[in-house]
Amino acid sequence: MILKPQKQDFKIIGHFLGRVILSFGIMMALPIGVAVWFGEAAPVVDLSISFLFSVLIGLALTEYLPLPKNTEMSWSHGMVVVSGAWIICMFLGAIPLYLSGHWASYLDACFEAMSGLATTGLVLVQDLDHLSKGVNFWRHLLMFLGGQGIIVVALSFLVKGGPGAFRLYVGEARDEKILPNIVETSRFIWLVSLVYFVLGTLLLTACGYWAVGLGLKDAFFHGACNFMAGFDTGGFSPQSQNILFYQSVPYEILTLIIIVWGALNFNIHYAIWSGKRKELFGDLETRTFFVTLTIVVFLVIAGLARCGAYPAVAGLIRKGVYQAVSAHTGTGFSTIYVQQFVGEWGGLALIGLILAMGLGSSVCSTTGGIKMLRVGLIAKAFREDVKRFLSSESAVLTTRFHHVRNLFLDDKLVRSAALITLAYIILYLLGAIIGSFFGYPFLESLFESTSAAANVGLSCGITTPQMPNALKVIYILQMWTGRLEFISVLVLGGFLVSLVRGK
Amino acid sequence: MRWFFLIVMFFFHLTCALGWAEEPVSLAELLGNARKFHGERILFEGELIGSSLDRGEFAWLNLGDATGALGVWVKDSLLPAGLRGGHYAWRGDVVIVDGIFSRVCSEHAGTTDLHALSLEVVSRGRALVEEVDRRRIAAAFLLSGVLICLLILREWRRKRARR
Repeated sequence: MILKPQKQDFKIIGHFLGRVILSFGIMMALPIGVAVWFGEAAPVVDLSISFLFSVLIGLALTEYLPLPKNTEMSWSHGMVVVSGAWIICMFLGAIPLYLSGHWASYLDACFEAMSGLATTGLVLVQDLDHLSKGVNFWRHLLMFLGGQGIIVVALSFLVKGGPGAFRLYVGEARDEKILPNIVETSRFIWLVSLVYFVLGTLLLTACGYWAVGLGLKDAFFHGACNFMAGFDTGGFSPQSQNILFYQSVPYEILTLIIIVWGALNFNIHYAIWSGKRKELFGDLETRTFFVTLTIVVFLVIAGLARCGAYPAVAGLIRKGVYQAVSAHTGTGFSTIYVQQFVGEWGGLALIGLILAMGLGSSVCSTTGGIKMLRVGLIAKAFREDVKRFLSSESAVLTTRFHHVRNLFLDDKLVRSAALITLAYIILYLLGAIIGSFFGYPFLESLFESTSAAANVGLSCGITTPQMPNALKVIYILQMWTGRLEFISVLVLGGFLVSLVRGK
Repeated sequence: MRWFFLIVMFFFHLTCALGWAEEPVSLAELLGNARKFHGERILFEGELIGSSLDRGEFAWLNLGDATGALGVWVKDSLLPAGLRGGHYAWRGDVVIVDGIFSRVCSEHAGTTDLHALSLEVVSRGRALVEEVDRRRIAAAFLLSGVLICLLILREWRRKRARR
């Protein structure tokens, strides 16, 4: 029997939604500072409107929907807050984008905002090369916030600990605690991200200034933006040519290092910070990642060599390896033109990229896709099953693996991994079928759908301001669902159904 | 008769020269027919985006036309003085480049680029005037006022609750 939500449920959900929106709104002060620094008057006004509006909504919800005494947030409350907050933050984050005049419609601005928050990187912006620094910084900051998690932002500063905090944390597709307390875990994620932000920005600034030839102020701005988009495996870049703009092998190598670093599980970062560097090579997830990366790079390079896209080895390695790593880490940084994927890369290389995008990287990181831990668990389960058939009937087989700690492979883990993997594959195919319905070739539709749902951001040309509005909405839903890994989105759907059909 | 023949030949050669005069090719055309244009001498016209990226005796220019932006590898000696690239509130200088297009440049590890043989400024950049909308300023002030009222109300309610 489905229970209809009561007034108390709305108060709890509304109150915590308010806290998340308030923390999101406060973050809008940062791009205002950037716009002031660069002397951009109109963007200051646009960003201020968005900041004030978001903070007002957040404050109003927390103030006029106070938390009832002696109540606890249930799992359903947590999931609804998370999935609802992501949609509301998309609408709020789109306001400064739309006001800038560089997006054809509010829907396009919402698409870009969700693409930023979900660290996807698909773009509908027009005339990006003349976009203000303030609004451009906001695009990249959306990736930084979404990559760490907008719930994690709220947990770090505005939500006290307790079981409710854990439920919010899990709702945002994170179920691994790094530290015993969720608030401490959230603050650690932010500490790591901010320390790397400072280091990464300095390195990219130096590289931009000396190797690329940018002026110092521009090198710093580009460095900060590219770090936020790279470490959070998002893929936005300040210019329309993306990483191709810099025409620099050293810059590409540095961004490669940053995106691989950002694709690692935050538990691995904690282990490295704690001096346990061996975790980097001993963890099932990182080992699976390096195996699949090798396979994908081989597939892509074989495909490129077969169709003669790059006659010289230097081009094969520079372009092929970069795009394969960019796809597998779910980043979407690009060093080739969109038209070249379809026109020159050939079917095998495209399939390699689709596989790379679909697999994704680490759980508890900034990446999307199926994730390597699940791939590793399923592979181990297959191996165990084959061993069982080859062993005597009386033999008792157990499989151990190391992920943060030593664990035994059990049916519950495998079932969970397989279910989410299946859900992702269905999501990729569903988007591909819908794209085909709109007249796009199936392989290209599959490429674009996988890129959206796995939050990668590479495009073969379907994502443009001219694409059908219905397809924009489908990709928004795919990005949202893929980022939150289904459960909280499905719970929100169930909650909405219970409003009508509950008793 | 000789003069008549010379005049005819003059106009014949002039017509041939005009007929062979090239139009700039767009980036979309280049990418759509990349193998055909690879190694060919073409004209490309576009706005300079950002600044020129200095690389010793050469520089990279990113030139954008309506269909996208292309990297142009140009010798410093060919660069006109005072080239200014586009950004927010500034439309950059528009230049036309005569150069060799490469689908996959062997010198630059597979990049799609244009090696300039000559470069000419078509038009100088200009400021893009952006007016601050007064209605938006009014909206910002209104929202600030509402926020301040909300904060005062919140404080008053907390003090009352403490009493």
